[in-house]
Amino acid sequence: MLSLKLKKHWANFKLDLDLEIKPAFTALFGPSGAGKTTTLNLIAGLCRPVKGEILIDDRILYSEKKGINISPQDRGVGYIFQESRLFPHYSVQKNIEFGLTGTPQEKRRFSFSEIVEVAGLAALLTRMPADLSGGEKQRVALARAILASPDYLLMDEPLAALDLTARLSFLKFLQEIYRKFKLPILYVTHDLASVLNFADEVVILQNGKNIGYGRPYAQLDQMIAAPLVSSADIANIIEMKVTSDKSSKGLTEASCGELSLVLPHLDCTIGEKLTLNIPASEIIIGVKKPDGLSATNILPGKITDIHHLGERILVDVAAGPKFTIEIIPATVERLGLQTGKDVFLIFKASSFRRLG
Amino acid sequence: MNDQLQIILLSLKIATLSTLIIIPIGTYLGWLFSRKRFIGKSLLDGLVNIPLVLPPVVTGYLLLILLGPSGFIGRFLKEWFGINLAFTWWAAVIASGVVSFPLLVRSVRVAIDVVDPKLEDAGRMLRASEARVFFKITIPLAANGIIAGSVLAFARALGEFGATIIFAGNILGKTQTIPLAVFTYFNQPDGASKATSLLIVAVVISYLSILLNELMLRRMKNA
Repeated sequence: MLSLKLKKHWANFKLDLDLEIKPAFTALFGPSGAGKTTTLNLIAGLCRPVKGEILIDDRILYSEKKGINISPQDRGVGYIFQESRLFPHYSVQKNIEFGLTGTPQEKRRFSFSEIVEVAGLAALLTRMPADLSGGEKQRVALARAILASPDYLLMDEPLAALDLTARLSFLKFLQEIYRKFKLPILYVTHDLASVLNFADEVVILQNGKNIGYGRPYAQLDQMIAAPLVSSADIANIIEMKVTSDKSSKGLTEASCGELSLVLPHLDCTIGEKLTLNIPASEIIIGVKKPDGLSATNILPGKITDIHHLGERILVDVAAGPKFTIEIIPATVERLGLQTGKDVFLIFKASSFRRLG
Repeated sequence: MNDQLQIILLSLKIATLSTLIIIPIGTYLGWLFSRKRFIGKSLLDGLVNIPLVLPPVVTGYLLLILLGPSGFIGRFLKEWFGINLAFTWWAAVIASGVVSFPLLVRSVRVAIDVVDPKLEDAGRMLRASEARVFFKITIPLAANGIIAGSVLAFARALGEFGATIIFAGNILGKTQTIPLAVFTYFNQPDGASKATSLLIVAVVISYLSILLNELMLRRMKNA
């Protein structure tokens, strides 16, 4: 449990937080200037609150009343910055080892080889940071931070510089890290759309105040969230297994339980696992089984929820895995969509993007 | 060994030693000026930089007042440790060091200003102690600038005249460095020919130092 009771004032900004965050993959979300980065810096000890307390479980990191201010080194908090901040004079290997060297033997929970393998960095160890792509840099920064064996991992929009596909694959990887190592993550972003599928909890921050905390999709219904996801695509991440390879026809077939999809030909082998993304705006919803379409993937499903995001509507449909479909309000009325209704989802094979 | 060669070697020895002594002190002070705020910072800054603008002869005189046999500090050095610095080889090292010190401190300060403090914070978040941040992040990233400053300080030390002649004297084989020898030769009727080899060495070393300084500064900018 990460408890924050903080106040900090500047000439034109006031941060006032009162929050208890469960150990999970938590997204800290808000518009620019809401105080997200400041919150991380306060937890990390890189800047100092005026009043209040910061605790991880019952360990006090800062307490104004008790006069405690633990130094950043001793807080047991890892920090992945927006600009990765790899040391430019060290190779990837030395960068990663830097996290290990400063950690006393009895506090070390991870080994170099283990983390390098999970992060898929074995081939990059001799490279210098300047020769890495944005996504690779952040993987190195993450490996480096984990090797310092922190109790909590703070991340400040680490994917801002990446394109959507790279961003989603990194988030997927992060989710695995969280599940594998049980390392709680506080992940700052202003792009709620891309974390929806990965985060366990979302904290919503506005004008320096926490105004919401809970399950990601539940938080979407908050008015504040609407303009913030307005321009972004909501992703649907599904994991499938390749069942047949019809490269002669330029197609690949993949399945996930009952669900079976025909995809454009992918370079993969039968039995291989695929992680795919299809944007919510590229799925068509129908109330009758359509006929005579060029699209080959038509799935029956049931509406489980309808979220309103200002002018946008998100419909959750259980069709094997859960899909989120974006439609305009008029469609809801025209088709009489409501929770529990049976519908059909239509996908164009070319709308799927492979993440891993 | 002829006089000229002896003079050149002595000069190199004095300039090298004085530079080696001021590198750690100058690096620490440059870092302090770049990264820290403390009471008396401007006062200390002024003190360090005075030799840059003070006539070197005056600096030498002040050194004599401080460290000479009857000076404020020199008196105690003599009484307690039996050390007399003035007019020794060590006096030449101290005079060169004091005069070239501000050049080093300024270069280091600029070099450390250029190092992104965010990288130091990244180090702290990886449990690196302040000392480790300093030695493993700040210093390596400022290295080119520190080397550039050291080379400049070395060249300045090699050319030191005013403070040396007052505080260390002009003693052949002991404190007579290249500039002092050139000065001496020009006061002798047949001196000009003796001075030639010294002039060439002085010009070559100074020129190489400036080249190296430029190279390091360029590398610092490109890093």
